[in-house]
Amino acid sequence: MTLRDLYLRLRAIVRPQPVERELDEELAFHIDREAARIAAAGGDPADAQRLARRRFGSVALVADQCRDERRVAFVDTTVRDVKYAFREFRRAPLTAFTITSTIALGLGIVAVVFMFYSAMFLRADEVPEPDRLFEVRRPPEPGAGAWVAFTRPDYEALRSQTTVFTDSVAMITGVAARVEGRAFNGTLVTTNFFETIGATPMLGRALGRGDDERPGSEPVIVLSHRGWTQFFGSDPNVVGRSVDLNGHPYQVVGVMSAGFRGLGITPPDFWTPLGRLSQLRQLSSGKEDSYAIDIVGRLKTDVSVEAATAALSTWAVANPALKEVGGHPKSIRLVARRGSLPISALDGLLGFAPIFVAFGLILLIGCANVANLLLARGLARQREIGIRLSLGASRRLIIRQLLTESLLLASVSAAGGLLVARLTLDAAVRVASAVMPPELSELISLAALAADWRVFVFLAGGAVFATVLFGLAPAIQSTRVELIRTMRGEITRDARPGRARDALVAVQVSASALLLIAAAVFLRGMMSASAVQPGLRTHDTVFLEMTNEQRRAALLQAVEGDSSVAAVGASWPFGIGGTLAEANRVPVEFKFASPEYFDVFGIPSYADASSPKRNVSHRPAL
Amino acid sequence: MTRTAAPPDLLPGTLDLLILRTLQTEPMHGWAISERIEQISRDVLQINQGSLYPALHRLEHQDWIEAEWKTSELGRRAKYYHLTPSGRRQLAREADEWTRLATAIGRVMKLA
Repeated sequence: MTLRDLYLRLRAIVRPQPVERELDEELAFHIDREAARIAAAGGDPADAQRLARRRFGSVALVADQCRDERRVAFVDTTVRDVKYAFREFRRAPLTAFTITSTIALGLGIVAVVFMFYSAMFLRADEVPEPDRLFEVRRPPEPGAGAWVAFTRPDYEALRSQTTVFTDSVAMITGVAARVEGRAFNGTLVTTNFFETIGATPMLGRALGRGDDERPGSEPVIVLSHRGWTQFFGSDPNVVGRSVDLNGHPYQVVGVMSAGFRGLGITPPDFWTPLGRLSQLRQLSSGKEDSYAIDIVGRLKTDVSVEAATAALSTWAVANPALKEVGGHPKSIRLVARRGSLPISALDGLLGFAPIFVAFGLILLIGCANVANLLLARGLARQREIGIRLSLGASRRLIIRQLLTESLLLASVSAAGGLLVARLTLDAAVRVASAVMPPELSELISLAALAADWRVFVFLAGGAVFATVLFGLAPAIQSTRVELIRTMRGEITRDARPGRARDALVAVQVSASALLLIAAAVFLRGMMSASAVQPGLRTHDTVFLEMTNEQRRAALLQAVEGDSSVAAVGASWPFGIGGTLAEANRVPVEFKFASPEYFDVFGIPSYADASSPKRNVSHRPAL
Repeated sequence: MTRTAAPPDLLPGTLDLLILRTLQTEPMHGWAISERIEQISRDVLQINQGSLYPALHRLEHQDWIEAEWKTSELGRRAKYYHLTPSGRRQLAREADEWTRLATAIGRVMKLA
């Protein structure tokens, strides 16, 4: 297609009247000129015009062929169909409203599921080449345990001794902190983090080299877009402000854009240098080096994932400083860290399929309802359709017109669906924050599920899909009419859409039954899960995590002295669950616990349990 | 002037070539183009006058010819077409192609 072609076509669409006038004038000139020739050659001037016309052929046909050359007939027909559809909506506004709201509800609910799916599997952080970002991990032994963690010295060694990454960063995610008295979720990063990832700040600056150790000056934090909007009311003057973080003054130096979520599904509220770990976690000095960190690197463009994995595994085996955990082979695996789950979108879809199907069924029921409605309306519109058919409109053209009507309704529904999705999510956030304790609900970030272009594309596709579902069958059915009898106002037997409606009712009933059964099974499962006895006393026990080692004794005393506390036990790791060790080459889960621990949870013992440090096979029966 | 001889069927695409060639000398309106082709071919090639206009509009969309409203010999305005640079190139290409084809057919006819 040339530029000229585009111009001519656009002109024909935007200003059809002058284009049509010019065409008429051009053809009229030809006939007049031909008539002039005939007259000049000695013909009868009165006859000349007639002869010229006959030689030319049908002017209307030629004009039509010229219009075809513009190739804008599609647009013409569509414009006409749309105008017709709007007239129809005005004539039956209630029907149009019923259809749009039914489909909007169905599409909106499916869109919510899609937003979760998109956030987990499709969305990557808005940084250059997110697909080259990988997390370095040490896989667990087959069949047991957690991934082996790295520490800060491991990271320094990896960074200086290997060459597969252009650069790598270390980070600790999910660090809870109190900023101005409110619970924030922070991520600690090495100061090369933002430079290596390639994320640029929206306001102020990101962290840079030198922010780690700045003796005498205030430590700094960078806010995420979420932290900025949620806690600082999107204040544009936040940069430079000093905030109280766990009792220490920190300076806000920048705000990141909404498209950067720190390589996770939900963004943290702020980033601060890794050097501040001891202040945030109140560790005794020296403990920083044994704290678990994540290592993320940007792979060089000429290094494949396999080559990098092999190189890093070789490095790990040769590095004596890398902590060996119970004869664990020192293999390395690279896991994609682009801002979505490290699972391919297709595998994710498999996991999401049951939810999509369940919510899709609601959409399907809605579509069946609307199809039924349209079939009923098709009966009412038989006369109109019959007249159009007998005036020479092809059946294809009428089906097309009816489908245009359906598609218009579905498009409005898609917009409504977006609104439904938004309202549903907002309501969910509100319910969550009303029901859950504030510490928990502040951490749950449903607000991160913003509508992006993927949701729009999804809804547009959904609208087309819904149109086919609810519009096609009625359109085909209602154009199947016997012309003459319809013109007389008789509704013909053929057009009575008995079988189609029976099928629709069957679909509706079975889909509804399926949904109800699934919901019942789900509810039963939930009820039995909530009634399971874990074998522990859980209904009146409370966990306190101690991170401030210096003040542990004082805190313990305060807790024990409280009159509402009946007994206190201690354990490591925190809460329920254990850590892995190897006894006679068999991996066992174990836990350090104080002797009171078992009494607190009401765990009966078979032998004497007074030894303060003993191995307990602890697998809660959940 | 009698127009009794049945015009031979034009090969597909030949009409485009004839129009482009006719416009090579000077800008013309539609009627003049059909007249010129008939004159030069000594009335052998008679163009279905109606089919001329869709072809003209097609060539215009392909940016090989351009239209301009000018005063005609009848004293009222008419749509005059002229070749564009890319139309000239297209004409050269099609003329070559045509010569090749005509020579080939001529050779076959002599042999047979």
